[in-house]
Amino acid sequence: MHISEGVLSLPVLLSGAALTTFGVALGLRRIGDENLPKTAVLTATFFTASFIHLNVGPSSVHLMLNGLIGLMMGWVAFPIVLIGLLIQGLLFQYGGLTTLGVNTFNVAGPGVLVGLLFHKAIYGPDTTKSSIFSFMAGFLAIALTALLVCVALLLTNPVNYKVAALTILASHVPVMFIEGAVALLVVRFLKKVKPELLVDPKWANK
Amino acid sequence: MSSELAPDQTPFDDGLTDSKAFLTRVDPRVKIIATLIWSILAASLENLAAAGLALGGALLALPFASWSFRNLAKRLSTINFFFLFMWLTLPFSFSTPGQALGAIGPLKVTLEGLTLAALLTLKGNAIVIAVIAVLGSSPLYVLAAASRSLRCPEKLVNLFLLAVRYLQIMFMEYARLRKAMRARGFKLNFSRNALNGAVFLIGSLLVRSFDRAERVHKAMISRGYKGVVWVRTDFTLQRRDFVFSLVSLFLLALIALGGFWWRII
Repeated sequence: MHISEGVLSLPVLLSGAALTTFGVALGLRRIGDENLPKTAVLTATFFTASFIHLNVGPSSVHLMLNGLIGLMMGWVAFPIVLIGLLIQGLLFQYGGLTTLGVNTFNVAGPGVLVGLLFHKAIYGPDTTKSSIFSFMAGFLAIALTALLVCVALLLTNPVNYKVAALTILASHVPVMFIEGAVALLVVRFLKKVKPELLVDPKWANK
Repeated sequence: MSSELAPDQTPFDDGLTDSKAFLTRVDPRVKIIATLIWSILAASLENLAAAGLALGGALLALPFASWSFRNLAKRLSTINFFFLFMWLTLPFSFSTPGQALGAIGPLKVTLEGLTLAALLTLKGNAIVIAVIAVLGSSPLYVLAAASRSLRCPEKLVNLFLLAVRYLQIMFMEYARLRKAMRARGFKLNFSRNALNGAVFLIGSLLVRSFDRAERVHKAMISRGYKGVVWVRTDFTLQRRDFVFSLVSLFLLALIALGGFWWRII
């Protein structure tokens, strides 16, 4: 899902960096000093969870959980994703320094959006409503991320990146369903096991 | 994409930071600035010759860093997997009037498409190899300390430092849960059963980490934590830093010139 180094044009990279800077600034403002260790531990957890691979047919998809991060953390998703991608970039070279801005925005932006839109419905007592919306959150977050990846590619080269962009979009359709299902089940699990993880509006969705 | 990590493997013991290597001893602040400029310059290149030059320049840094062939290959294979995808789509889908080189079945191969794929590959590898050689030769906490003294937001640096420390613990937790699942014959393929397994894994990680975070926070407060994570920031520039800067500047100028010159003619 991450766009590699060297693919995007400079204006696209810079716009991505600007959007990410804005999001990270908003997110950092929401982390009080007392919440810093908690945020760090959750950052590490989301990073670790992204190593879970599900085998689908001959290939495997790794979970991104950006909908879930957005739901639980609100704007704090931006610094969390930024740090996750930075560590990933430095340790594994999935992405890199120049694409950090675009990739962070592509992943965190949709997460924050679904978080802001759906968290009330999901945190509410109505189980059916909560299930539907948490599926939607996981599904839409990946769908929008795939869409943003396409937009970044097409803004760079509208003609020649078209096939690559469409292939990426199409290949993520199964991932959308998987992430939707995972988000639904994880929310259900957390509501049963540790509901206070989902209702801590003091430092997330506000 | 990379395969899943083995249960006992953490991504942190890659043995790439050897304190004797030249690049490890260069001031990390200088390294961060140089790599940033290098990456942005290389990303903006638009011709093959300059991109090839950039790749050459990046390769030049490798002998001065410590790295193992296995590690380098593993890291480069991740990014080149993406470029493989570009090589498979671009030459066949170039729609501006391209120079047809030949055809594979109904698909026309264009020179322009091949050139673009080659350009992307050269640029991408030039950036990533430079990051591996220059930044990869410093431990993450040193880079964090350096970026703090480069006026990076303090809260972000603190978050990064704490996250890196907790990653190792979370990885151990994850490995333990995975091992337990494996011992019970769990395979994470796409079935209802496996999905439930994955969800239980994520849920347990989140719940455990949340409890741990509360404990950590209390422990930190009881030791006088007031929002500051202490790291060494007493960097001083030395002769090798100037040598590194001069060589980097020379390479950057060379590549910038290569990029521009192409545009003039």
